[in-house]
Amino acid sequence: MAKKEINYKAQKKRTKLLVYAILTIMSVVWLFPIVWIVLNSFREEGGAFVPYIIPKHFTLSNYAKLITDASGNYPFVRWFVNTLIVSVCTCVLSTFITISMSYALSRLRFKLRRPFLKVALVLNMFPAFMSMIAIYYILKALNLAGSLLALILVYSAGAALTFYVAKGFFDTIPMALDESAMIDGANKWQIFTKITLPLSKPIIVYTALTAFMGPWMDFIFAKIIMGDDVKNYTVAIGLYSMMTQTTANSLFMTFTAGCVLIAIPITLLFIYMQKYYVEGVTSGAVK
Amino acid sequence: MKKNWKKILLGGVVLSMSMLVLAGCGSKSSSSSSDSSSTQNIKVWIDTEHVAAIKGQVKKFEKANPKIHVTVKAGSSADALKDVSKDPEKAADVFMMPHDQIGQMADAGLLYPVSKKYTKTVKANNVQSAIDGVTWKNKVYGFPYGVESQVLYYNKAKLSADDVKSWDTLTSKGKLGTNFAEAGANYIFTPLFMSNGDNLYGKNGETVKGTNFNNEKGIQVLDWIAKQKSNSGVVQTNAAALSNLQSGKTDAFLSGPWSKNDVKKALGKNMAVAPYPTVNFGSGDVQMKAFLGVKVYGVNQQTKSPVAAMKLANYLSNEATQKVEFNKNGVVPSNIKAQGLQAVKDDETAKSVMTMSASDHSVVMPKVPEITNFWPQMDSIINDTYKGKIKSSDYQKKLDKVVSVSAKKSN
Amino acid sequence: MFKKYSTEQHITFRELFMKGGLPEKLSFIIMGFSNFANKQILKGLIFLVAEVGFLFWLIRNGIHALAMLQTLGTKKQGLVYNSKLGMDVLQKGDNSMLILLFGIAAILICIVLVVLYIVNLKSARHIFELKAAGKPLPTAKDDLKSLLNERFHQTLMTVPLMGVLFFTILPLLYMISIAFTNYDHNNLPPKNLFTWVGFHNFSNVITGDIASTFFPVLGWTLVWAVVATVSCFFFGVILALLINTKGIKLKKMWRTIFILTMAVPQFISLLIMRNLLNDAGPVNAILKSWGWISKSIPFLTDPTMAKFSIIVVNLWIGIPATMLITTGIIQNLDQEQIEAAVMDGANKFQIFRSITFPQILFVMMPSLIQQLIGNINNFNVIYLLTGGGPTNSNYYGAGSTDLLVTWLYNLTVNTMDYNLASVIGILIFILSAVFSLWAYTHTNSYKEG
Repeated sequence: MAKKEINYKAQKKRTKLLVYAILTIMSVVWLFPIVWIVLNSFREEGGAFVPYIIPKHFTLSNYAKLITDASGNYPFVRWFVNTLIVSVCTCVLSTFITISMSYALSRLRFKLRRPFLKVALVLNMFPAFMSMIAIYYILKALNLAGSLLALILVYSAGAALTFYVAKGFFDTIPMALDESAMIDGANKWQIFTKITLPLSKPIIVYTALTAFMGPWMDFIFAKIIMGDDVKNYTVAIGLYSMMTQTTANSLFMTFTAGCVLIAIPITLLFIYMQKYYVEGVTSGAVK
Repeated sequence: MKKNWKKILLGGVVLSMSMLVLAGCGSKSSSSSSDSSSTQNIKVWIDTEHVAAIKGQVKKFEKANPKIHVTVKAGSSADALKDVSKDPEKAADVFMMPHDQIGQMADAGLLYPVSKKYTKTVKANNVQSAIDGVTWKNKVYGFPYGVESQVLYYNKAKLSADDVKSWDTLTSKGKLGTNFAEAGANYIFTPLFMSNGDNLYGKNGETVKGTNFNNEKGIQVLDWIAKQKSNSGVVQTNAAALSNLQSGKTDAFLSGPWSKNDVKKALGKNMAVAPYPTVNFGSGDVQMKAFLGVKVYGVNQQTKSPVAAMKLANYLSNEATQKVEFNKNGVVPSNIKAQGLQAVKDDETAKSVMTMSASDHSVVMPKVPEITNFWPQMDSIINDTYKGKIKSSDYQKKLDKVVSVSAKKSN
Repeated sequence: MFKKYSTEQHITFRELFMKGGLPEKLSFIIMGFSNFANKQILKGLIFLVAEVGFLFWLIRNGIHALAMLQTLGTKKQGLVYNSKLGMDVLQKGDNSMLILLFGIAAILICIVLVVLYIVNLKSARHIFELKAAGKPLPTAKDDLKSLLNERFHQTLMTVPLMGVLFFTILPLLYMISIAFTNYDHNNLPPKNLFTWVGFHNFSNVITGDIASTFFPVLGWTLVWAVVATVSCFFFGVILALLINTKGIKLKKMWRTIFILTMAVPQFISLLIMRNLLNDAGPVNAILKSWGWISKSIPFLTDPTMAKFSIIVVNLWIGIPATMLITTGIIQNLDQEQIEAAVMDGANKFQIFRSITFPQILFVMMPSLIQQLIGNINNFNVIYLLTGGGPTNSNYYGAGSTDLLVTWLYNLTVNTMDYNLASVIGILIFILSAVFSLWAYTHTNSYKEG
């Protein structure tokens, strides 16, 4: 009996060691590209390709180049501010829109609700490239092409069809809560603001976080809207524009420095909010 | 059932919004005046690397023409077709572009034909190959400001000037880093067919049905390409060409004048430049050819001030500006006088490019729109032949396909 | 309480016209007239303004926009010699592309007005019925109040739906229409006009010479979508289980390491991966310096290897998200059920197979379906990593790793064959729509909604 116990313990220990080993290896694989970006951003010599990992000379000049914008063609600070403005506005607007839509579709009953759910499901499945040109001309007709407002508008308009996760969350809040409030004489507006919303922190944070990150990552559509208005670029278009054929080699390290700078705020936000993020995605169906 | 109060509101808003949309569209189709009395605003797209050099010239231009105000914006000449066609009205009035997009852009109505007066200037001041480059269906569609063609960069310490005169000695005595196997091989190696006597879009490069790669000579070329796989003097390199050159893994490299400064950085005082070597496809040595590209300023057909725009395009392609571009960015001039400058003559790269730009060393890149069908097809055939993925018995079939695709008018 | 669908019988509009008084009759011509006559000024005003505005627009732009839709333009852009300037001067012509886009917008506006017109009639009928029954009419205040209660869904959804109408539906209709035109590289606006060609493009893609590219690319798209989705799911679950193994310390740290990669924008991580995996990139360089390989591994330049690399890189991107969600599910599992199972002598694997995994699958099903559709349309990974390459001499305008969606992109950007691209877009759409609607109606996870 005792022997068995020891065996069992030893086996458990072996399993644990194995798990640690796998996790360590995986972590290395996952962190390697990130570490490599960071190292590159401090590299002084060479171009885009060097056959070694650790830079031979460390420097801060890549960051300095980015922030001071000596050439006048890559106003990174301005891009950063643009992106911040766009993402904050988009975040507020689209959270509002997504929550409104998902609440209406989850809690309220009206004609055409079910057909609408199906239509909305498939509407977004059309590849977006050609509609981008159409959207560009619609914005141009509204005299908005090339402005930050256009980006905010389009990103937020897209939020109307991304309600599925949030709807799943609202579906789990018991209807009994609404009914008892209604008996107390509350109207639907009051139920929405006083009862449902306070219970929905995780999903609001999740929606907001997703919306906030969008503008930092979109480089194709934003470029079509912005055209040659370099001053109105977001960081994603800006950084991507550094990687053209003729400039990729000479600007590679500056590019990585830019990558580090935009990854920092998003990473911090993400780590800080990950609890809500998980709750937002999972609670919809777990409970 | 109650009335849909909100739907009414929605309808009102939608209606007014849509009317805005349509009114916006309706009012656009009005004027294209060429008013010359008040100040005219001209926007120009310049490749990022050239902005600094051009800004100085623009200042001088504005001084000489106080009524024209010029805005310089960073653009990408390689994407001229894409960027201008997206929205011609918002595009720049004058933009940098490669000459091979002239056919497609002219056919789509995006380029302003150069006026008679400036056509004369362009024809009088530029080398013949540059004039050929900007002429499409007997009209001149752009202002050439430079010529470029690939040349051979090599490491003096490893190879002598005699070694690089033929492909065989070059690759037996040193290692050439070049790209047969990846996208972009079409640009470097399509001219091999012309070296062996075939035509791409006819002799003038404008005959849609003039491609004849599917003959004996074409098969010879593919045979030769397949053999390079086992040639130890040929190292497949694409993105890493420069770092390979620097680390000594390769000793030579085919590229254009745009690589001059990077090569200098990589090789230092060992850098040397030569025209392309000769090559033997099996029936004697022939000159290996390259594509000749002409760098051009195009004028947007939708420009509000065509007169001012052409004036600027002409200024940015004149002798003085070409000199500045040569000094600052190494652009090899297309202007006859600028080519005669001592500084240009003394420059090894420029000298080689100028040698290459003669018709026995290069082919002006065709500008027929159908070439967009040809490129991907050619690319994959060179790649696959080099990698040994196409059996030699299939060469004829593949070349037949290239020829038929190259002449395809519409799908 | 929530299902208050109106079941009351209404009179038909024809009866309304016959029985109604002058205000009702006039409502058929002048929208909102009945509201005015019954002191619902604000509402009547909105109807009236909408009608007047519409008519004004119709005369000014609308008729023209709609009429042009038939031909998509007849006047070509040209150049006319101007002797005063000594050069050709532009004569603008019709732009088929804009005619098409704004023609569709005009149709949408007409539809909106028709809807409003019906609402107007319903409103007139409602007033008529209320009066006939001797009930009081709702005031503007009552109407506004109902927006926060009975018609709260309209309050919540109107603004978002407007955005959908203009930024999703309008472009969508435009795109679909292009599939029926000859908008290709030979008919590019502004100089050239394009026009309707019916189903010609469809037959070209399915049976014509484009078919030899379409079907292989479609095949790889499906393989990729399934493999990418399943592999990310599978390894993500394993990773979550590893991290949540009993007795593993620093759980939060391990999680955070993997989450880091989610916060790096994809275009950055993919461009970096492309650099890392290049024939001359650091990965090959390290392997060489360790003496493991003598020749570079063609991670992205050999067709088979490239497909493999893409899937592996996609794992790098996709696993953390699955891991995060799965962790959430595992932490929320019903512990009593598991303890009961342990009491019954179930081993870990059995518990996983019959309790944990079904639960994970149940929760993840909607997101798995979404991921699958997302992968069919996964532009970023292919475009940024291989650009569709390596080239393939058997295809038209596509490379070995091109998905339908990146091929579509090539067709619009490089070869400018918008019509073909649109056909492919429609086919992708049908494919994903059919699949997701099937999933929507056949999986448990969706059913409660």
